[in-house]
Amino acid sequence: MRVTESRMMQVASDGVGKARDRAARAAQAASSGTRVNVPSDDPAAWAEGRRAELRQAASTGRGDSLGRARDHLAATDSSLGTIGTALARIKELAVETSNGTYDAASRRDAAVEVGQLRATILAAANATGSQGEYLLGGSQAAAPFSAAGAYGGDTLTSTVEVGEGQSVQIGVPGTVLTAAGGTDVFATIDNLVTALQSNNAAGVQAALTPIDSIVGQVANARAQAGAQMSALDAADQARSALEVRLGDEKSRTLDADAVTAASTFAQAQNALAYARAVAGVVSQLAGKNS
Amino acid sequence: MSLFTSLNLGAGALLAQQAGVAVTGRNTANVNTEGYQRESIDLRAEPGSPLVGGVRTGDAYRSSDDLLSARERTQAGAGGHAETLAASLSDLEQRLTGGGGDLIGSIGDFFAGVGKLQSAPTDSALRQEVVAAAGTVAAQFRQAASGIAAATSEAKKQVTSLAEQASQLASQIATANRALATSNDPVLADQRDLAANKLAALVGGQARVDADGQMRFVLDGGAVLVDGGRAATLSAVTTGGTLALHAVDGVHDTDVTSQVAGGKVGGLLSFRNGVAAQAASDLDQLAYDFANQVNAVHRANIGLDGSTGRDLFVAPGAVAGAAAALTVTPAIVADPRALATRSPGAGPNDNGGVAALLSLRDAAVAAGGARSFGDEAIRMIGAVGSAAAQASADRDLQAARTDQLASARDSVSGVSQEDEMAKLAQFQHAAEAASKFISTVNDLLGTLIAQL
Repeated sequence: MRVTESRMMQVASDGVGKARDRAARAAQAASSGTRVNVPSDDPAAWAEGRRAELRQAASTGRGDSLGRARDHLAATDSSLGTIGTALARIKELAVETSNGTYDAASRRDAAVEVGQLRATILAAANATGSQGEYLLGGSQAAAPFSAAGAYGGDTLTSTVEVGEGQSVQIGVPGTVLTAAGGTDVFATIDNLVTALQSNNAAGVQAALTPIDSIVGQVANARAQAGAQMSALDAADQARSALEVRLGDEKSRTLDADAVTAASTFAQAQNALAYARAVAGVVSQLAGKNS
Repeated sequence: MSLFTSLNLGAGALLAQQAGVAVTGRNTANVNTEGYQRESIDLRAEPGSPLVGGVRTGDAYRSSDDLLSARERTQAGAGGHAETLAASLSDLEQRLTGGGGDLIGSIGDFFAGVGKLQSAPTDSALRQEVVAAAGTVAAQFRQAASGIAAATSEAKKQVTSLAEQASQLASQIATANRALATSNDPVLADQRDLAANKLAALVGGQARVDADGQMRFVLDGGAVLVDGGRAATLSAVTTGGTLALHAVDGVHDTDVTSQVAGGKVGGLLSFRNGVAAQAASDLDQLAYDFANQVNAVHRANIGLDGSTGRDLFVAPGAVAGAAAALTVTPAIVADPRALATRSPGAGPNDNGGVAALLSLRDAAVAAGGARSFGDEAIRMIGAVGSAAAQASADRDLQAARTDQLASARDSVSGVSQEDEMAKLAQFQHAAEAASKFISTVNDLLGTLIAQL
């Protein structure tokens, strides 16, 4: 085949151009650490990487929500704990004063202490969380328990996503302290106070069973909150592990392997140097022939 | 044979070698001239008895291969098509993914914000974050729509410009045809071939030189652009958002869009009326579905301010243009308390509305129920990327084929300085010999005359 000087020069020049282009792309990948910058670099890997990013974003939102939900439950558990501690003392007082050896004055003193404990329980029942929400009020924004102990909240709990496609109900409604939960806490305490104030030993005795009941209710409510917290903790651990996997997946699909990128860059540089040398020789040959 | 006849013979030989030198000179002078095809000259012996005759030169002729030329024109069309299609798709891909464009990320961030709101639906900062994220989604849709519109507008400008260039080239071919009707100048033929190659690179098609020496240029679909001394004019016309190419030959105005399959114009038309149009349609459909689905959930729930029945996004009137017009309802931007986070009948701390919004994240409610919003955005942008990758590979393949044909053509028609130097030496020595012959005959004549 006949090869003209101009054709040789053109081929050599094109070769340098292509080698330069390859070297530039290799340099970009090696310096940025990213193999896939735009979809056309590797459409399948790009799509996989972006899907991993979407799942990461969802996980980030979920993590924030899990943290706040856990804080809410921890605060709820703390309130229930306060209520439980107060009820334990009330039970002690009730057991003691149900004894026939106690006189009216002692029972009146006990009534005062029970009254103070009732106030503590009411304050704990109306406690708020970090967002200002009433911990035992359900979805309502007003204080759930009146001074008389009437419940004005609702039974609604919050739906919280704990995993991909998984949600749980979070929250302990204040009905655990009402007759709907078994025995009305405030009514039981009020009855005890009345019996103590009237020096009614039989009345105090009769209050022991419902007091046991409400102690058990609150313990169950704490267990419920505790179980929800454990579920959130497990979900958060799983979420953290998922984020690590997603990060690895994204890196595997989108990032350049450092060793491969450096090697490719070195090869491209060598190819460019070689192409330039060939172009130089061709140019000399063409010059000699003219 | 007389000495005078010999003198004429010598003169003829000298002229013949000088013609060879002239052709060699023209070849050397045009070694870098685009489209120039190497010329050669025929030297034929004059017939006659022994000691009578000489050499006669024919016309200079071009060293060309018609089959190769046709293949080159076809390849020029394929190469031009691949070049503009690849460039346009790469440009569109950059507009959709570069310069802060991240529709996919914005959708992810919106639902991430909604996710955070689950456990704190009354938190004003988180509500503001969700409203801002909704605004970002809308802005990204508008930016993507603007990017596609800009890319298609750019393609239209290029088609308009290239159509003008094609018209000029067609006119050049017609002018060369008229000149070659009465002339045999190989340079005119070179210029006509070059114009035909460039025209093929622009609009595809094929050229054929008829028996009468006139070139006819025909588009891939059969429409005639150049017929002898007449050429049609190409122009770009936009009808109902679709770009069309019209050929006007003075009498008829024909839509030749479907007949331009190759060339740069063909590539741009493929881009504009193909991938770009599909991307615009998909984007609008996604924006429409996104706004409507989110609005349906939002309307059914209640804000902290007690408002209900309100759209989060200004409801798009139609699918067409939905992306370019997407915005968040101003009343919600002004007061994030209007963001509907609770279910009907529930108190302010209820997060039923948030959960309902969040359920849209992974639901297959886009693309006619085929996939989620995020997956549809990935598919849509990924389709542009896949097309760009394929076009880039095709461009490289076509470039390699073009190179191959150029080498083959150059092998036949290209000027080799080595060859021309050899020929020059050949003609030079032959001219010297002819001069010496003339000189010798002249001396003989002089001797004869002196003896008279």
